[in-house]
Amino acid sequence: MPDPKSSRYMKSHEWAALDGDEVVVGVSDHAQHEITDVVFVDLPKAGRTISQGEAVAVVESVKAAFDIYAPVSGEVVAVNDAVLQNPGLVNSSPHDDGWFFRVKPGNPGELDALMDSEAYEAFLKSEAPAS
Amino acid sequence: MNAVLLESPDLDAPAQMALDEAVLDGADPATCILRFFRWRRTRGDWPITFGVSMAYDEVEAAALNRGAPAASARVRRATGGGIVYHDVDLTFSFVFPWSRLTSPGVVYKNLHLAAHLGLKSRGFETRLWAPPSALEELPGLRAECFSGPEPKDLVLPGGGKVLGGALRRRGETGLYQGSLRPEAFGAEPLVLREAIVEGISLQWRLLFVPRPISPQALAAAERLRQTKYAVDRWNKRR
Repeated sequence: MPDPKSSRYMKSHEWAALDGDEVVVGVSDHAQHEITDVVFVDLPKAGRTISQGEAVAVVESVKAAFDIYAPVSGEVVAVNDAVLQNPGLVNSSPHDDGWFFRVKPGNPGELDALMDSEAYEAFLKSEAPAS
Repeated sequence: MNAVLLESPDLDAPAQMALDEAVLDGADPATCILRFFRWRRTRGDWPITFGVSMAYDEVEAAALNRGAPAASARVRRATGGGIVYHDVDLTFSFVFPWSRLTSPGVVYKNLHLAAHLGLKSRGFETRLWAPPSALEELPGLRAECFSGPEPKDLVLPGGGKVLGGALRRRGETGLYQGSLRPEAFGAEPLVLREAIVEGISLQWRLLFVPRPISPQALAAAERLRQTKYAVDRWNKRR
């Protein structure tokens, strides 16, 4: 699975990483930490065409549901059955076993336009409450 | 921060859930929207709502076990949480900016603390529930919302649960749906409603301005009712 350092990120905390000619998608470690204990994951079906920025999945922690957005446009080619069976993988392994789905991208330029890990770290710092 | 208190009509359960989602989708990022609403019965029976990820069969079994009429509406919410039987409860929703990714537990606690303070200002004692011991293992989320308290629910001094809720985060906006049990206080719903408004006003530093629901929001809600909340494809999707 991709190194978090080489992944791209959305402001809504999804990560996306190129793996061959597919893009793997999940949520960042920061996101899983804030969402807390994930008890349910609803993913798009393989074969579905999605658009960048579209709400395509839902993650639920205790009493709270979160929309998950598509980092890139394209066709969903695979979903992670393991995370459907064991949603806790989102917390224990957000960048590895807790990935959500793979996309055959329709516009590779969309991935490059997302934040790199350094920009995402800076974004997180800017979002942190002032102490 | 602007704050709006929406005047809501009595609607059936699919329409109320649709209106909550329409308000969420149409919310200005710099505005908080508080809405109290009542339920219109379906064929004489009070509706049931349940959390977005619950299995319909589980809801059906629990409802029948409780003696809920088979004809009462069962509607899947956009928020999490368990089953709520909307008989005499005072129901309200709160749409708010959730710009930073703050944990839902913190948001839930802040809202329920606001309700606690508002109720206290009217002489109604409650407290935020916490497990008896930090080391005690919780059994997991209860299927039925009011079968017992979850952490940060509002309970009476004796422990009976009086306020539960659930959340949805969509982009940078959050939706809270709450259910308060008026009979526990022996007070008119209007008094409790004013207490909740006052508590949220103080805790979130808001001045609520009453406003009717816009025709656009009602139209969007009607579309959502017809395509989502009143159809089996959504309510029985799991």
